[in-house]
Amino acid sequence: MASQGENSVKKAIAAYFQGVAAAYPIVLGYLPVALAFGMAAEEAGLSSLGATFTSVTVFAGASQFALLGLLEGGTQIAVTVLICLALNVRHIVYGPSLSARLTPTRQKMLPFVAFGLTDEVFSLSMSRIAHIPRTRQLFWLLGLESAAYLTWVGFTWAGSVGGKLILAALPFLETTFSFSIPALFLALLMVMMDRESLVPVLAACLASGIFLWLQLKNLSIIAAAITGPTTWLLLRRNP
Amino acid sequence: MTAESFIAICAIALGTYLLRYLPLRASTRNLHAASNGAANLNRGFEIAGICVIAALFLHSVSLPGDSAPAFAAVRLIASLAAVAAASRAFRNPGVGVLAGILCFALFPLLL
Repeated sequence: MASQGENSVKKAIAAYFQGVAAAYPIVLGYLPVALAFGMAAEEAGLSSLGATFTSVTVFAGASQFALLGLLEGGTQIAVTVLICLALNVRHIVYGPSLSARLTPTRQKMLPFVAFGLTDEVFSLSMSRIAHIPRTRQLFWLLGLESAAYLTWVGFTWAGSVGGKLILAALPFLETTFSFSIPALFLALLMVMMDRESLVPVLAACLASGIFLWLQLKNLSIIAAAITGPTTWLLLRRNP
Repeated sequence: MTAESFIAICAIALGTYLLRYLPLRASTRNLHAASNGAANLNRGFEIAGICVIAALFLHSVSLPGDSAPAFAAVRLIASLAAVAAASRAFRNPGVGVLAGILCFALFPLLL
């Protein structure tokens, strides 16, 4: 019995480190974005501690960047919180979508797994978790999330502390970093988009573009979130 | 960091966590009771998520300001194409980001 227990612990640890190893693409993607966030936070007046605290507690890239812009612009705190949460509303769909491919044998692990369910972790796990044995899926997911989280937090800190030194030595990096954010969103889009979502996404882009043209940036995201699923529903009714 | 910023960060952290945790917990509990309607709702949410990411992309994309507009546009389009191609080929956002950043950084050196 004891050796059976030891064996299952060993398998769980192995699954955890398989998850850590599988996280390399997320680590590569997070590295420049986290550095950029650390630098931007420092420039926005958050201290190095504040920047790191934000990454430690929030762990959601888009809303963290939005938070900086809103704090810099002097937006009311309640409005700032609501806008950032509105940006993260999409996370509602990740749990239900993932649970269709997940067999949670250990309910007690769910609160920990939920914390790290970012856009990138979601899309990568959706494509790979089906290949992991059921009893070890949550350990694998936790490994994936740990690597992503430590990269995000560590490089936020590095960006806030040493970002200026890095830029002084390699000035071209600043422009390169500015590209990492749209690159991340486009990469996610390319991985998640399928034939069924193509027309809804185009409709959402059109609606969003109109609001951007009207200088209503925050409404552009809400417009996309409404227009896309509405188009999808209309297409389902009238194929 | 001011007290107001601290409160905002804590509220966003808590809200974001609940947005991730509550649907995951609810859906894993009701997994076996999932109906066709619930599956459609899930798919609708999934499409909404993809559309929000598309809007965030439009929100974030801009011409790099360190070169002439025509050159900056070509550099941006080439780098976005590299992101799209690599992400699609490897089905992996990290590889796409890396390919795009490499292209974006090396583009001025190649021309």
